Amino acid sequence: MSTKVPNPTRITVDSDNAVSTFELTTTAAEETECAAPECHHAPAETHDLRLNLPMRKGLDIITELEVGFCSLECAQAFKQLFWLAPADDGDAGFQVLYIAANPLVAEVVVEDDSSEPIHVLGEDFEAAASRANEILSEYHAAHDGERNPEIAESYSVSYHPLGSVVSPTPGR
Amino acid sequence: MSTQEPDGIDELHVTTLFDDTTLEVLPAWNDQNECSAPDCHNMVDRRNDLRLNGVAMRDANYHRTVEFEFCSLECAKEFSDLGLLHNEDVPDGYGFESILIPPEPIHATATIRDPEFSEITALGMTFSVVGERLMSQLSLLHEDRGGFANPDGVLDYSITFGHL
Repeated sequence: MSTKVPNPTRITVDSDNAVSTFELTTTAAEETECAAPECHHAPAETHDLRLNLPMRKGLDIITELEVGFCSLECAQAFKQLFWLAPADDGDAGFQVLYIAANPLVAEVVVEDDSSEPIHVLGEDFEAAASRANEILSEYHAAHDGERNPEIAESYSVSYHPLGSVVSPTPGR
Repeated sequence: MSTQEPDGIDELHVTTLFDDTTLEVLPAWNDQNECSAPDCHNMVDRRNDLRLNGVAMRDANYHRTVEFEFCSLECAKEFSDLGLLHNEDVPDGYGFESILIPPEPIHATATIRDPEFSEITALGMTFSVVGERLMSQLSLLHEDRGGFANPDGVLDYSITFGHL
């Protein structure tokens, strides 16, 4: 009666574009790895490089899978795959994972702080902005902002298409 | 017997604790979209998100929240400084006796580096709520401006937080 929604944490997928079959881990896996083919690094910690991939069966989006990356370069390589299909059609429960065509990178700079910019990835503006906000909240909490009555913190956020951010992701 | 909820009420008659002044204040989403601050009849501007929740209490117990909305940070500040309001309409309904306005709200302003240097401001009680409100407003504006295809869109901004 009920349709089981697949929620795999490791899927073997095929890509037409990279002519390869590789194992994709999602962020729900116990040991998450960078989603780019053949990269086994852990996803970035300082930066928030995640993407949601709509999982389609026929015309329906069944659910979304979240994957993470170790660097913007890996995210860019992954974007070039365009879409992924399960290697084993049998009972994967879905037919295609779509990769957003125009992911955005938000570069967050905390003013009066000499640390490197923080990079945040999202499949669209809303996703990137929402994750940038989480980063700001974490930074604020880490600096004891709620108890400090003198908060007057400033941040700059700029958005770029993935692939146009020149500087490599520091501090992997 | 029945408790009348303040949904849909157009105004509240309250007295302030400090100087016993009687005021009329309007909850958010009132018919005219007017600012909640006493004697301000400006309309709220929903490009910004200047809302605060008051805690409505009965017999010193939490009862519910009442949302207020402002046309400017100045009006929000004036309202927030009222602190505690006594509801004059208790006998007629609305079910609560007083409204506590939590102190020290946080505001944040995003300055967008478009040709006009547009500004969007959000208000709230916690850093994360203010941040979320600001991001929602920025996302709406980004869509209004045609998204990423528009080079004068919402692609570059700075945010400054502070206490009201």
